[in-house]
Amino acid sequence: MTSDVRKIDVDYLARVEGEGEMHVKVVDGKIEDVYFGIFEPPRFYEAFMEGRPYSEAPDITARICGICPVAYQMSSVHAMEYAFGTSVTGQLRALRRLLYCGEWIESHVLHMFLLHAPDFLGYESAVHMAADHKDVVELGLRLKKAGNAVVTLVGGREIHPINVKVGGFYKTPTKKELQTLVPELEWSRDAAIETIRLVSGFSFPKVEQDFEFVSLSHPLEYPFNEGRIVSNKGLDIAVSEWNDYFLEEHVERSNALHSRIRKRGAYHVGPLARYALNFEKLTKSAQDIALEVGLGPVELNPFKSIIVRGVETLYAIEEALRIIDQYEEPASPSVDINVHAGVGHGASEAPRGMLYHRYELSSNGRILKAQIVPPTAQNQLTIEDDLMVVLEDSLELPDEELTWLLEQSIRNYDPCISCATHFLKLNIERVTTE
Amino acid sequence: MEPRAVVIGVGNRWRRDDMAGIAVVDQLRHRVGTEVDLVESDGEPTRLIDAFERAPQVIMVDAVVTGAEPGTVHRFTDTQLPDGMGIGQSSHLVQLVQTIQLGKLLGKLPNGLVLIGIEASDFDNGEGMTSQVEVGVQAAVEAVVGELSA
Repeated sequence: MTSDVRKIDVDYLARVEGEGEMHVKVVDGKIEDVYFGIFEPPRFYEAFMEGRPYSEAPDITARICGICPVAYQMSSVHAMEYAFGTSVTGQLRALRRLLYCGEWIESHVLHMFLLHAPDFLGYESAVHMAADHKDVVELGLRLKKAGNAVVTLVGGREIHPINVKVGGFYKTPTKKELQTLVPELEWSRDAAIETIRLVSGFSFPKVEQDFEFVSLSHPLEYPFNEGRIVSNKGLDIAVSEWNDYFLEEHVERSNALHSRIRKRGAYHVGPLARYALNFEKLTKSAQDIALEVGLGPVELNPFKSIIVRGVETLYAIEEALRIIDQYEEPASPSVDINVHAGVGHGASEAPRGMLYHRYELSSNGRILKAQIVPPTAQNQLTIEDDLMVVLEDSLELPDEELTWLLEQSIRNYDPCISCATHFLKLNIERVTTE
Repeated sequence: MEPRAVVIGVGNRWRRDDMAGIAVVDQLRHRVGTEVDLVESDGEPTRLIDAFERAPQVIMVDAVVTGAEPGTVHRFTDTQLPDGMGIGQSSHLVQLVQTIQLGKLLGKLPNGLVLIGIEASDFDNGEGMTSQVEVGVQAAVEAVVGELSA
């Protein structure tokens, strides 16, 4: 019997933040196996935190990802505050949103311009793209810098911000300091609109998936730090119920845990999910431009996530400007914490999607057990589903083009696999047996 | 006073030998004055490109893997780096070499740059470098001081 086995193995994915791998096996024209794997450092950090004081969690977990340290800090402080029965309100709460705005701008712009746009424009990398589209890259770099400035000012440092603590901040900025951010944010608002128009002109593979979108939802605002966990298929739970409705499973060949909704399966977190579940909470101008460039209030094509990132960037800029405009310096940079034994849950919306933390604490505030569920682990099954659909439609493509398309599909999720070391090794193998 | 040189240490403090570049910058804090700007980087490309613009002379320090003995100190100029350097030789290679290329393309590196590489071997999660790499860090500090006075 003749058997044609075609394998595509990408051991290390380029333009993915961290390390990832993809394996595809096609036997006699039939897809036999699709696997997307990540090396997941949260496991190390979960163990590392056991026995340490609650107050160290924001700084330790921020090390997990160089691109989204704020998300890790936010989910951890909210979990601790939940456990201690404290809530941070008023201007301190607004400052947390502002810090998150900065991170969304940084992360979304980095991904759109340097990692994802080259896919759509047919360039191997941002460097190749810059040779022909210098103005586009320069637009992206300036926009990104506006986000960097917000994180540096509110977060207290350029990388791995250190100003966040359980209960608030170590130091809060003055009104005058925040106002220095305004001119560049105002320029950025126009630049974001230009960006949305630019990326919506790309051509998109015609792929639509019947996703179960999951994100936080808050009655009054587009979600960053607070809300219930909802889905477009009826889920509506408190953050503290995460483990009752979601399941993390070990999968062979990976040290990462795959998440699924109990009794249902794969789900999708990230910009497309937030957008679909919170469209009406976007600013009017963000809604208008989204509809103008052809997005519906719900977008099911994962390749169009690049446009939604643009829309969320615009939202983050406008929200930052609103917070700065309404800012009044708080009397104290943090609220008091009443340490006692307990269990804390926190979820916030990292640029890549919902990030859940859970901590068990002793009576003196030591961490007994930590659970961290990053967005990429939650998207892992959905990414594999997408790869399957793309493969089925494109099997006739030669290996090189097919690999490109599959990598692009993975990059739709901007998978953040940790701020790791960055080796690159690509290996495509085609096997024919007779 | 505008700094005349910027030294950028690239790495991850929590991936053992990967922190070599940052360790060099940490030590330089006691060796150089305000005329030298010291920057810690996690390899994120846009902030690196910003750092290129801080001074006329740009020196970057990073852990590298070329197959040499751990702790070996290498010196590359930007013209020796791209394309020819190949894959898997710097711990932040994908972004690092591309970022240097991007910086040059955008006119941010008019005088080029020098990369001081420290051969590394252990990239596991955790703090603390291997002893050979710690020795390499000392040699790299001297190499950077040499570059600055050249």
